[in-house]
Amino acid sequence: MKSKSFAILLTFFMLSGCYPQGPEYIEDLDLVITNHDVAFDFKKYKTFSLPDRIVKITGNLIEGDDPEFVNDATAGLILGRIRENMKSYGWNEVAAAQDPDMIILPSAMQSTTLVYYYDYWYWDWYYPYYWWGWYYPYPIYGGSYTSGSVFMQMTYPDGITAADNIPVVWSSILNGLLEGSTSEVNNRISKSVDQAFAQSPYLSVKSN
Amino acid sequence: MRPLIILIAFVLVLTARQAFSQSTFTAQYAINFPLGNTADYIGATSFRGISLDYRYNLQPNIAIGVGTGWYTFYEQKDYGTYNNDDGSLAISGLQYRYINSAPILFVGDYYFSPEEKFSPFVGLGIGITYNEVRTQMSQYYVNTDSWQFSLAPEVGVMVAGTTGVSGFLSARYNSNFKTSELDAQSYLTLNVGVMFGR
Repeated sequence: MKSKSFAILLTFFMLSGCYPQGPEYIEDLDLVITNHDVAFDFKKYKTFSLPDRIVKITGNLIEGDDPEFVNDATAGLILGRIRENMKSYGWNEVAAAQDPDMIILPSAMQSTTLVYYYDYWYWDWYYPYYWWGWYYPYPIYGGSYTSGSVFMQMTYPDGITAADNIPVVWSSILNGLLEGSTSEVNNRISKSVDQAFAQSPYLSVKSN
Repeated sequence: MRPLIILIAFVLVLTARQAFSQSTFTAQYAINFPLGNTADYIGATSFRGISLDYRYNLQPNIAIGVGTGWYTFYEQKDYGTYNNDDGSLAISGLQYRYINSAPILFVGDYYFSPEEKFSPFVGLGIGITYNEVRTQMSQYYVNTDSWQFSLAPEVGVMVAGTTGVSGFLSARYNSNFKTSELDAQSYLTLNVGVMFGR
């Protein structure tokens, strides 16, 4: 009975590939999410503005930390793609002081996840103990990965409420791993920005 | 495939220690074809499956017992955009879909020609099946699982081999009924394996 129980347990253990395959490459993990107010009529508006830099969501501004910004090269890439996509949809860019219909606010954040595995079975094997205090450290297997998100929020300043809240009529989140060379990461970000606008055809204000 | 070969070797070793007279034990490699709601979610055939059955022969041509197994369905969808009902939300990316299914059935079989080399049979299983449906995009996934009442009619044939070992081939239709957590699931299982003790 003991060997039969072991065989049954082994059966299920060897079938532990319950979630086979899955993502194989870094770009397989890229995700683009968009959300918009379905009642908002974008065709009534024409102008937008963009900031010069992209703020990083990090630190603690309330406690007096200075805001951090995405590096100029990557920020320029993101802002450039937003600008191109908005223009292709018929929007005109104006300066913030010229009372634009929409103000697009990009931001970014990144986080690092530590992954570790401690083999507790290690303690089943006895290693000679040296009386002067040296011992063999138990193995810990670890690694880490960094993921990042770019947020784009299209705000409608003229819709400011009595509580001083400015409505966000369209927003997007681009999420993926920040692994690989800078050019590879920038290339994937660029494609994701384009995808965010491609899946938002309601943003087009062109007269057909 | 390699783990499956090792598995079958282990089963052969442990069952060789016992001499079945009125009981049989069957280990089978299972190929599963999704149907109905299951096929709507994952269209790909599953080649990751194992079925294990135990039978007690009440008479030479009637047996009752239990059957279980583990079947994994998997499909990677092409890059696509998925929208919610009112169209306000859209998510684009690669989607990975998984279904893990583990039935636990009480089974009764009828063998038409138990003394012949080729003995066809019919059977019916009644029990419950654990079904877990997982949808993954990027690092995130949504899981839905449920225990569902199941009916599983089966037809097949035993091929008598050497003393105590027979070949086994069957087709079983697994019908899992809808619950509040999960829609009805169904699939056709093709079992190929070895029966010990007959």
